[in-house]
Amino acid sequence: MTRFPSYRDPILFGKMQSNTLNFVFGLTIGLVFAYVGISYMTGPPTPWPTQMRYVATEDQETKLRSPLRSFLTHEDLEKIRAIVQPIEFMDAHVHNDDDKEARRLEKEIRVLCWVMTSPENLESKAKHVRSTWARRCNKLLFISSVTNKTFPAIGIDVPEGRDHLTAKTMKAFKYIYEHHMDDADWFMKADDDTYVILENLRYFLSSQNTNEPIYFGHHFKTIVKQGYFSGGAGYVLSKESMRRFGAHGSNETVCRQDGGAEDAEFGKCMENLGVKVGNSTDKLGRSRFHCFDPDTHLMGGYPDWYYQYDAHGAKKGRESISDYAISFHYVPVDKMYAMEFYIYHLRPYGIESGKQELNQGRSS
Amino acid sequence: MDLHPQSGKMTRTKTRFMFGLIFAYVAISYMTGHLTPRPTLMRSLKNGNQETQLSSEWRSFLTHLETIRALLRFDEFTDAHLKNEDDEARRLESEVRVLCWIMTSPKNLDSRATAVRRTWARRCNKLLFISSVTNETFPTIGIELPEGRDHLTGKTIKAFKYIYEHHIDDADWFMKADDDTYVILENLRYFLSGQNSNEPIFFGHHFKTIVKQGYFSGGAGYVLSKEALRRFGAKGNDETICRQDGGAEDAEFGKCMETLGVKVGNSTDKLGRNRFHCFDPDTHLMGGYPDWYYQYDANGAKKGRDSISDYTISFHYVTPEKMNALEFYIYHLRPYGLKSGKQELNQDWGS
Repeated sequence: MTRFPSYRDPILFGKMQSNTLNFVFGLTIGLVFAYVGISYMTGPPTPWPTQMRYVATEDQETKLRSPLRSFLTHEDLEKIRAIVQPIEFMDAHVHNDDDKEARRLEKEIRVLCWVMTSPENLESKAKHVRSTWARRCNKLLFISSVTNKTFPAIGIDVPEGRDHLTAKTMKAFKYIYEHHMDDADWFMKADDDTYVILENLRYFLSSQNTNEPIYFGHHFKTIVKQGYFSGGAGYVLSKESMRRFGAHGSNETVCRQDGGAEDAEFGKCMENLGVKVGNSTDKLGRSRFHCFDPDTHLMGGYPDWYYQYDAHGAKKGRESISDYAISFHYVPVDKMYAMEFYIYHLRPYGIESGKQELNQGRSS
Repeated sequence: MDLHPQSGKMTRTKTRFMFGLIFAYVAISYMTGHLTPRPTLMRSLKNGNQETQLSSEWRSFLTHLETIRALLRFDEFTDAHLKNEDDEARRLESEVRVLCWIMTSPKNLDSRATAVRRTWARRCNKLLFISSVTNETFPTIGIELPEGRDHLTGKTIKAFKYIYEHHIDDADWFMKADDDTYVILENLRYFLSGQNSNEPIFFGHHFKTIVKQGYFSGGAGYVLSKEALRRFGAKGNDETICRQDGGAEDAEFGKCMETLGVKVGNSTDKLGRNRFHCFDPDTHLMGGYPDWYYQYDANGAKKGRDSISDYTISFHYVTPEKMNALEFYIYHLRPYGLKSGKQELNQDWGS
C-alpha cells in the first residue's frame, strides 16, 4: 500500500474490483475454452473409441479376442445359424407379469405386419421371425415371390432379387389394400432380418391419428424432398396413407412400379400422394426405429454414408436409443432369440420398471 | 508509474485475463489428475483413420477427457427420467453386501476394466481391481506377480489373502470376476438372500471334473461366503493345503476350497436353470459349445431356454461393447405396458 500515493486509494479500490472482474472473466472464458476444446477433441466422430474397440465384423472380432476365447469362429456361427432351432421360453407360469396395459393396447391399436421374404429364406429366416416378434402382430403376412400354403407365405408375382424389391413392395401394399384394409388400423412393412417390439410400436402409435396421411420409420434426409424411411428398419402406414396408395399407387406417373431402391422409391411415392413423413423420436429426442442392429447404434460403428443420410445427426450410444425402441435391422436369427430373452425374460430382481411418458405431442 | 497509461492498463487487464484462463485450464486438468497433451499427438488424433496404436499415456489422457466430458454433460449414467420402483433392489443392496474383486492387468485397464467399472461393477457394495501393478489413479491394487496365465493361481490366492486381511468386514459375500465377466448384482443378491454366509460354501458355474466335488469356472465368477473366506485366510497360505501358484486358477482354487472343507453350492433356480455362465449369452442360448464343455458342465450342458435363468447372475467373454449393450438391454430397453412381476425362483433352503 505504501508504494502508492494516498490520492490513489479510492481508485485503487476500484481497480481491485476490476482486477477481480478481469480474473473472473478470464476464468470463465478459460472454462468455456476448456469445455469446447475437450468436446471437440472427444466429440463425434471420435477416432479413439472406434480405434480401440473390437471391430464389428466377426472375423476381426475373433482375431482381436484373447486366445482363451475364440472357439466360436465365423464358420462356427454360420454352422449354428444353419441349424438354429426355435427356442421356446416356456416359463410363463412363473412369470408374474402384469401385462394389462400391453393387452389393452393390443386390442385398441391393431397392427398388420407384412414381412418381405423369399422362398429360400422361409426356413432360415422367416421361420424365426414367426417364432419371435411377429407373433405379437394382430395380423401377420409373409410376402414372397412364390406362394407357400404350409408356411404360409403369399406369392407376389415378382422375380426375386434386389432389382425387383420396389415391385414387391408396391404389389404387397396393393394386395393388403385389396384384402386386409379392415383387419388393422396401422400397416407395417418389415424385412426378415428386422426385429420389432410390438408393445412399443403400439405405445407410439397410440399418440397418432390413423386418419391422417402420415407414415413413420427411420428417417433418411436424402433423395426425397421430405426424406424417406429405411426399408430395413421397417415403416408403418396409417389407414389414410393406405387409402391414398390404394387409389393412386398403381399409376406409374405417381409411383414408380419397379426398379430403384425400394425404400427411396416408396418414399417418393408417398410424397407424391401427399403422405407426410412423421417424427417418431421420443420426448428425449431418442430414436425408435433403427436401421442397424443394437450394438452398432450403441457403439456408433456406422458406415460413412450414414452420416449423410440420417436425419437426426447420426447419434450413437445409449442416450440415442429410446427405452421404448421399436425396431432394429440386420438382426440374424440367433440374435432374434437373444433379443426375446433380453426384452421379455432377463430381469434385474427387485427393479420394477415404471411407465415412462416418452411420447411427444401429435406428430406434425 | 504509467508511461503509456492506456497500454499499461491493457497489459494488466490482459495479464489477469490470461491468468484466469490458465488457472481454469490447470484447475480442470488437476480435477482429472492429468497434464497438458502433446500437440503432435493431438494432430494425429484428428487424422483418426491412420491411427493404429496409441500410447498408453495418450489413452489414459483421453480417458480423463471422457471423464470430464461425462461430468460436464452429466450424461451416460444418470437416468433421472426413469420411474423405476427399485425399493426391493435397494433393500437387498444394504442387507446383502457384496465385495467384488476384478482380476485385471495393466494393459486391460483402459478397455476392459474401464468398461467393467462404468457398467455393472458400480453396483457392488465394495469394488477392488487387482492387477500386477498398483495404479493410484484407476485405482488398482498391485499384487507382486508377473502377468500371464502361469500366475493366475498366484494372483487369486494373493488377492483373496489381501481381501481377508483388509476387507473382511466390508461385506458379507466376496465375489471374484474377470475383466470380461458381466454380473447382474441385483440377481446375485437375490440368490444370496436365500443363503447363509456363515456356512463354508461358495457358488459359481459348476464344473464336475478335476476336483472331487467339482469346482467353479473362473471366468463366470464365483462368490465365497464369509466363513469360506475365514477358512481361506486362516490356512490358505499353507502349500500343502492350497497350491500357491501355477496350474489352472479356478481348478486349483477349487481344490483349495475342497481341502478347507468349503462346499460347492448349487445356484440353479427353481426350474433347474443356471445362473452363473462361463460363456456369453448368445453361446448359451444357441448352444454353440466347444467339445470340452460337455465333459465339464455339471448341469447337463443345456442350451436355450433351459440353460439361462430369468434372474441370471453372470456371463463370461463379454467384450466392452457387449457390456454396454447388456446395460441397455437389462436396465433400459423395455416393452411398454408389460410390468414384470417378482418371480419366486430361489430353491428352498439347503438344496
